Amino acid sequence: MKKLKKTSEEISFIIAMIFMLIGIFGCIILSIIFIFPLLLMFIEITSISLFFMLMLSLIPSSSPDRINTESIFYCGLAKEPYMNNDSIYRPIVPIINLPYDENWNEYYDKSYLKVEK
Amino acid sequence: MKESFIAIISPIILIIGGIITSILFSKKKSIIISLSIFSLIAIIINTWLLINGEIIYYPNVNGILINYSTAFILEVTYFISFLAIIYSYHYFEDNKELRYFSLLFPLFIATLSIMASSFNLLLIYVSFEASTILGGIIILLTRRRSAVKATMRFFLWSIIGAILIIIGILYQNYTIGNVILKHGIPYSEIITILYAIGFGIKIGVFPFGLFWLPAAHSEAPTPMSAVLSGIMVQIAAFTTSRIIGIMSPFNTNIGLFLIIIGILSIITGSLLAMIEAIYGSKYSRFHVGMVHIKGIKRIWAFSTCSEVGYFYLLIGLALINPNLMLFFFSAILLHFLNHGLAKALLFFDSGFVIKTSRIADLSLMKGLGRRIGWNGFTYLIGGFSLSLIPGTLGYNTFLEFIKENIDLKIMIIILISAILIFFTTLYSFKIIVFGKPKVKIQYIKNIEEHLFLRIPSLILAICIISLGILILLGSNGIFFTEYYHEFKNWFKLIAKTICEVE
Repeated sequence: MKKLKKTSEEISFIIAMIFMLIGIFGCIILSIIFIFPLLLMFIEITSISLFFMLMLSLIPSSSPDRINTESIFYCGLAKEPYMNNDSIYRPIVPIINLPYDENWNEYYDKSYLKVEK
Repeated sequence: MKESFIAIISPIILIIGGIITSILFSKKKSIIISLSIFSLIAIIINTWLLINGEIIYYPNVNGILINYSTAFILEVTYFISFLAIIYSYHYFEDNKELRYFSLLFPLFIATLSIMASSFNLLLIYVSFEASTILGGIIILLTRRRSAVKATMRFFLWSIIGAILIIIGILYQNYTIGNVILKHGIPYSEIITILYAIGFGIKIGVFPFGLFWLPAAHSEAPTPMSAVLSGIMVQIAAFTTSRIIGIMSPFNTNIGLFLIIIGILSIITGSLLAMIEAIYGSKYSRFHVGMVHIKGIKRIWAFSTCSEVGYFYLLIGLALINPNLMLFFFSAILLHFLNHGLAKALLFFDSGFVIKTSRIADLSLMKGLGRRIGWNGFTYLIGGFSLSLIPGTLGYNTFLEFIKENIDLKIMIIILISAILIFFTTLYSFKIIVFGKPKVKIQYIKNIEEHLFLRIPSLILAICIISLGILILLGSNGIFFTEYYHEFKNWFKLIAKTICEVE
C-alpha cells in the first residue's frame, strides 16, 4: 500500500508533543531549582501544548467531516480510483492517532467469536 | 546523608530507555528486550540503594531524596513495572501500540518514582500532573470508544484533585514563603484536608474514586491496569501519608476524618466488587461501555477502591494514636507490598483470561477448564491475599488489625470486607473455569496461547506465598520466628523514614 505523506495536523501534533515533553521536564527540573518566573514559563508551555493537542485531536473526533457518497458516484464512468484517500473519513482515537478497534465494542472479540443473543 | 547523582539515575535511565526504544526499534522482540534491559538496570541501582541504606539527594534535600522508605517503594514499583513489560510482549498485537507503550510507560514510571521521592510539594504536584497526562494517554491504547470516555473521566477528576492541591501549595507559599513539607504551618488543618481530598481523588477513595477509577483501570491495557492499581494509587497514598504525617502528625480531627473516608471506601469498594461479579455493571454502575457487562477487570478495579481505604484508615489511626505511629506506618508499607503484588497478579491473570477466551465479560464466559493451567492457582492466591487469608501476604494486614488498640467495630468492618472479597474471588473463579453462558457462543478462529501472559503472575504468586508462609509460621512461633521478627523490625526501620528527611 502506498505510504501517505504526513498531514500538517500530524506534523503540528508531533511538534506540540515535543513541546509538551520539554515543558514537563522543565517543570520537574525547575521545581527543584525553584526559579519562579522560569517555572511559570514551562508550566505555560506544557499547558498550551497539551491544550493544542487536545483540540487538534478532539475536534475531528467530535465533529467529523462527512462525505456525501452520491456526490462522488459517477455511475461507473469515472476512472480509478473512484474516491480520493484524503476524502475518506475514518474516526481515530484522540491523541494517539490510531483507528478505533471496533471488534471489542461489546467486550468480546468479534473477529474471533460469534454470539447469538 | 550526602549529595549524589545516583539519586536521580533510575528515573533518568527509564526516560532515556523509553525514548531510545521507541525511536530505534520497531520489532516486538527488540522493543521488549530493550525496555527490559533499561528496567533491570533501574532495579539493580535501586536494590543497591535499598541494601546500602544511605540517604542521598540531588541536587539538594528539596529535590529528589532517596531514603529507606522511598527506596523500598521504588523497588516494588520497578519490580511490578518490569513484569508488566514482560507481559506486554504477548499482550499487544499491534506493533504501533507497543511502540507508543514503550515510549509512554517508562516515562510514566519515572514520573511516579519522582513523586515518591520528594519532600517538595511543587515537585510532587508536577510529577502528579505528568503521571496523569501519561497515564491517560496509555489508557487510550485499548482503542475502544469506552476507553476515551474513561480517559476523559480520569483527566477531569485528576484536574479537580490538582486544583485542590495547588490551592494548598499557593496558600503555603503565601504564609511561609516556600513549598517544602513542614510541621507548624498556620492553619495546617485546612491545608492538610485540602491535600487529603486532592490526593484522595487520585488515590480513588470514597466517593471520588468511584467516578473514575473502575472505568479507567478496567478500560486500560492490562499491563497498565496492573500498574495503575498496583502502583499509581499506592504511590499517591504513600505520598499522602508522608504529607499528613509531617504537616499534622497529632491531629485527631483529621485522623477521624480519614478513618471515616477509609471505612466508607473499604466497605463500598468490596461490596461493589461483589455486585459486579454477581449482577454486573447494571447494578454496580459507574460503567462507560456501550453495553452492560460483568467485567472481570471491573471487579478488581472496584476492589482497588476498597483497598485504598486501608491506607486512609491506617493514616487516621496513626494520627489518633501518636504513640503507635511507627506501627501504623509500617502497616502502610506492608499493605503497599501486599496490595501491590496481589492486585498486579489479579490484573495479569484477568488479562490472560481475556486474551485466552477473547471475552472480557463474565456473563459470556465459556469456562476455560484445564486451559487455565497454573493461572487458576495464582488467581486464587491473589484473591486470597486480598481476603487476608493465612498463608498469604494479606495475613499480615489481618494481624495488624487484631491488635488490642484497634476498635472492635473497625475489626468487624475489615473482616466483612475480607469475606466479601473472598466470596467475589471464588465466584469469579468458578465462572472463569466452569462458566456456562446463557447465550450461544461460537468460536470462528483458533486462539493461540502465550507463555509470557502466564509467567508474571506465577512470579508474583511465589512472592506472595513465600512471604505469607514466613508470616504465618513466624507470627505463631512455629518456624522462622527470628526471620519474622527481623522482617517486622526492618519494616519499622523503613517506616521511620516516611516522614523524616534524616
